[in-house]
Amino acid sequence: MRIHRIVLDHFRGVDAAAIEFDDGVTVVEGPNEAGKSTIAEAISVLFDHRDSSRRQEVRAVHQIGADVGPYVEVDLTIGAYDINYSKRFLRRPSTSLRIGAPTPEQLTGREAHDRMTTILKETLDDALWGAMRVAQGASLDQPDLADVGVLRAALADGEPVGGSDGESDHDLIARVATEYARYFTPRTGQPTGELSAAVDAHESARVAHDGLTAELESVEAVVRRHEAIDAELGRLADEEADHAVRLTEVQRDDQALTGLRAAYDEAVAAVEVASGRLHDAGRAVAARTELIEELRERQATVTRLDTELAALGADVEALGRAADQARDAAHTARADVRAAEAAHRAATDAAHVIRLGREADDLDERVGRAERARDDALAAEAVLAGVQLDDAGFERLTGLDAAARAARELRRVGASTIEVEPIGATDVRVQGAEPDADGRRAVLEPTTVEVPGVVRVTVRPGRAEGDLADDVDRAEAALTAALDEAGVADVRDARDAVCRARDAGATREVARARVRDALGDADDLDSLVASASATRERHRDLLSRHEGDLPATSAAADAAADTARGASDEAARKADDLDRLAREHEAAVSAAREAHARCEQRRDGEHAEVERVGVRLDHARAETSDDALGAKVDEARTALDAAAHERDRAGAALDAAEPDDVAARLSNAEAVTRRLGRARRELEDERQQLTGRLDGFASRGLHDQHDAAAAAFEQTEGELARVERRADAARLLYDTLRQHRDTARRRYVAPYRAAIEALGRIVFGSDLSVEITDDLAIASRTLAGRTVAFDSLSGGAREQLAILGRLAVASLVDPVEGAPLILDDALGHADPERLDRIAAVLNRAGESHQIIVLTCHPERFRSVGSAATVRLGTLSA
Amino acid sequence: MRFIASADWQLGMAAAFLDDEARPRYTQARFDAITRIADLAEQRDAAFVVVAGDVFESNHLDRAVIARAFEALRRVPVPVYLLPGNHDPLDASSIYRSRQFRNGCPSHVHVLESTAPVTVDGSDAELIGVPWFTKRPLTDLVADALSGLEPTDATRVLVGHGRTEALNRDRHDPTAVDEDALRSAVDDGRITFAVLGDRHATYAVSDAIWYPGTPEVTARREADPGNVLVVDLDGSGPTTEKVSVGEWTFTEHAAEVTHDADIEALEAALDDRSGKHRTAIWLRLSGTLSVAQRARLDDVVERAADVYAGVALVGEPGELVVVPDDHDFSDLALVGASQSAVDDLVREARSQGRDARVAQDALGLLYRLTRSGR
Repeated sequence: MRIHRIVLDHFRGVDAAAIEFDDGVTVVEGPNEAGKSTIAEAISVLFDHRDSSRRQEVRAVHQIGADVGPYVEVDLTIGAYDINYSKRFLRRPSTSLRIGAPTPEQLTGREAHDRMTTILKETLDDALWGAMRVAQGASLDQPDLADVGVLRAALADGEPVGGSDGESDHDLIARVATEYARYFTPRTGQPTGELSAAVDAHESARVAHDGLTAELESVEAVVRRHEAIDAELGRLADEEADHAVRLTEVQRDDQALTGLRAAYDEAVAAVEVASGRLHDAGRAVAARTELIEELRERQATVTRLDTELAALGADVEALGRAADQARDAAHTARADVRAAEAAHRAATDAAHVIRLGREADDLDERVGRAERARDDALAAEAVLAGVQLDDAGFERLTGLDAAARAARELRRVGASTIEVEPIGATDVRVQGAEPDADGRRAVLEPTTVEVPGVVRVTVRPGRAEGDLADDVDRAEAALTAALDEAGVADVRDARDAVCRARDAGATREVARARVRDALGDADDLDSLVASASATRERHRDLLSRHEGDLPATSAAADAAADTARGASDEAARKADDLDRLAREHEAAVSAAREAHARCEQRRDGEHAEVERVGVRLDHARAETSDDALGAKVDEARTALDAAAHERDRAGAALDAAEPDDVAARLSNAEAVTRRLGRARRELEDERQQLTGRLDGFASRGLHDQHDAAAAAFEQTEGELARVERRADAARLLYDTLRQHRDTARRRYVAPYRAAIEALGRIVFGSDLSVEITDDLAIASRTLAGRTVAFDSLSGGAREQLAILGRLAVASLVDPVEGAPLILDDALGHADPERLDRIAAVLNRAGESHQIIVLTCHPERFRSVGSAATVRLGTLSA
Repeated sequence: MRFIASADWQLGMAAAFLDDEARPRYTQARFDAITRIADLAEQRDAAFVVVAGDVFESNHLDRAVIARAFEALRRVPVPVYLLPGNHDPLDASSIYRSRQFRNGCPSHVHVLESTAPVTVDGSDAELIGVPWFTKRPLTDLVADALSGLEPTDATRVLVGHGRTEALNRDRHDPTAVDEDALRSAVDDGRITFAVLGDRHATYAVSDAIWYPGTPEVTARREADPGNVLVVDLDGSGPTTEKVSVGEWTFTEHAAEVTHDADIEALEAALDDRSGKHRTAIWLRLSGTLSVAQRARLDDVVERAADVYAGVALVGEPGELVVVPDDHDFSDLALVGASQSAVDDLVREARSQGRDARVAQDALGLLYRLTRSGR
């Protein structure tokens, strides 16, 4: 299809315009408001809607306020047809179609629209027409080429791809897909819709049917159980009848046994009674014998006690006498003790007097020794008081003496000397005296050398000599002061004094020690003296009072005292022994008296008992004689023997009837009765229960429900089979068609890719390659070895590739069958260099294909060499 | 003496294979058959009616079935004797012992509850009923009953239920009726006539031993259903007359369909039948059809299903084959991928492979879609 001219009147923003289009590239430029986009819109409205349409798309192009309806007129060549086609909408709508070639036709109104629609359908591929229009703002999107029949025909290199009557693969597969979707999900092919509904219905019918089948079976089971119980009850009834006969027999045997058992029990009781009677008779005889014996024993006891009592009286007499004797002996011994004690005291006093005299002598001697030693100490003390120098003072003195001598020697050695040597006879005097033999003299003081009458020379010591002289003076002064202080004349004197002091010190210490020795334990001499005189006084006092002679020595006195002491102790011991003996005798006497009293009491008690027992025995005998008692015992024994015999007889009779056997049989028979009864009751209960359940079932019409469920199950099964069959068919058809379509599409990919790459290399360079999907979309672009997915490319690159795709389509499709490429406000994303390259491509494409560019930026397309430029603004009224 | 012998009424039976609409009509038809038996009894002046077992389909039916049965039975002018069979045995759940049955039972309707001889009301004939007490008896009940009988001069009819050994597929079925015992009982005068139930087709074991069959068909493979017997015991020997009372037909129709003419013939055959609304038909078709022919056949069957009580296709896979011919899709002018897809499917459909049938169906679908698309 080629569009040659378009005329607009009162169409949207355009009052009136007529635009001629070149066969190649036509750039329609004008500002946005000028309505350049409306050109594309106008063609759509013209082709798609009847003049009578009042659809939104149509009403949108009406100029607000205009009293004239929007008008579009187009001159175009399409297929073999040359056409002029126009419509006015909304107000006084009209349609006009003029066909110039191949056969001239002229139509209006509805016929015109229908004819044009037929021509378009015949000659223009809808999908291609859609793909070749780039709406404003949509330039980045790729065209949808998957179903462009013409393109596929071109790509398939002449292979036919669509029905002559317009039936296309696309329509067919859409219908098959719809059919497929009745049964399967489009993506995963999972059962859905009718198929899953049929599966579900079948499954739930199956569940319902199975449930009812199970219920029916359970009813049948109940019925069978019921039958079994009836049979079992019949058997039980027979068994019970049989058993009743057996039970009666056993009960009869048991009855007989009861009589025998009673007789035996009675005989046993009789034996017990007889045995009790014998026992009582025996007891009476024994009691009588016991009483006689007691009386006899007690009489013997009384006799024995009388004898004992007489012996005890004799004992008391003898013991009293012995006690009196012992008491007298003890009294005598006590007088002897007192005499011995007095002798002992006298001996002790004598020894004391002698010892005290010796003590007084000793004290006197110690006093004498102490007074002598005290005098010696006082003498030494006096010596010590005469010496003021101690050892340290003496040391200091010797030091000062040495210092004075040293000073003197130093002065002597360091002093100037004069040597006077008389030459002649002239008298020479040194310090008024003759010079020394050697004539030398130290000048220690102004020294005069005089030749009397002639000359007197005074030599004075120098200053240094003066200092030395001062040192000597000071040392000597110190020494002298120290000596004075010590009260000695010189150092030697000092040494003697120190020696004397040491000796006196020693003597004093010795004397003091002697004093202490003599004092002993006395505090001082005075108390010793006092103690000595006191002792002497006491001795004299005792001596004056002592009678008789004193023994010669202290030892003799002590010995006499000891002897007296021994005699006294001996006498005391003897007296104590006799006392103890006397007390023992007295105790024995009172014990013997007590024993006698007790024995007497017992004898009286026994005597009373003898009398009491004698009375009792007399009474008893008065009641029953001893012989009568014996006869009763014999009688009771005979009765017991008879009862025992009767009991043994009854026991034998009972044993003969086999009571254990009968009891076992009876208890077993009764157990059987109970068991049978229980079994019957259980079965009857169960039957009752089952009957109840059956009544419950009966009211439900289970069989009808089951039939209905079976019908539903069968139906859903059939339905499922049918649906599955249809679904299988739909799937096979769908899969097969799709598989073949995909295979075909893959065949288209290669030439389409080659076309894009050929054009694209002009824009992007020679190393461009692109990846194309089966749907003929650009998947990715590879430049310099770098592959980028289409969607990740920059806006510019995407737009350019999208336009290249369309240009490739244009280049592939026969121009007669093709459609013009309409670019509305495109390439806004391209930089100038790219623009130039795109322009080159557009230029080349324009040689074979009509391209209409609508833009408000005409400079973008300046470099398209062959472009015809139309300025829309100037045409706008 | 004349009476009507019937059996296997199977009241309350549902037919799952019928259409939803037809099923209740069919259920009612079994009650209606009783009405026709009533009419027949009146016309022929029968002394009584016996039903040899399986009067009811089951013991576990909705009790409404009893009221409907009594409603129909009240039309019968003579005594009716019902025998419990294997479907409705006298067990703990027996329908005959239900409250509804006991309370509602009309006075002329009797249940043969034991093998004790029963004298027919207003007649000198004696009935020996052999009821089933359980679904699974362990002996031949008929033989047991016969062994306790002595020869008699009276007219004595034995009413039993069960297959004779010759008819029984299960060789070891303990309940199988001993045919020889029956024959000898007839021969030695212990019984005059035997009416047996369980076999739904009318069938004579001997002149005096009969299966009257079900009065209304129950399954598609029954040989001769839908009859009752009018039995005459006066005279030298028993005479029997088979009278049709059934209104429903269950049938199979086998046909080969390969040419258009065959389809037309089938259509005509289906059209020709009378009583379609009381007919269920199972079509056993074989042959080879094109896709277009198959579509036409489907139309024919679909139309038949609208008027018949039930139409079903039966047969083994492979008996009826759809093979696309060159005309099926040629007028579609399919090209390119679609055409090659169709070619694939046609190849598969013509093959002997397992998916041949699916491919045939797929082509059928394609055929339908392309036609409906225009």
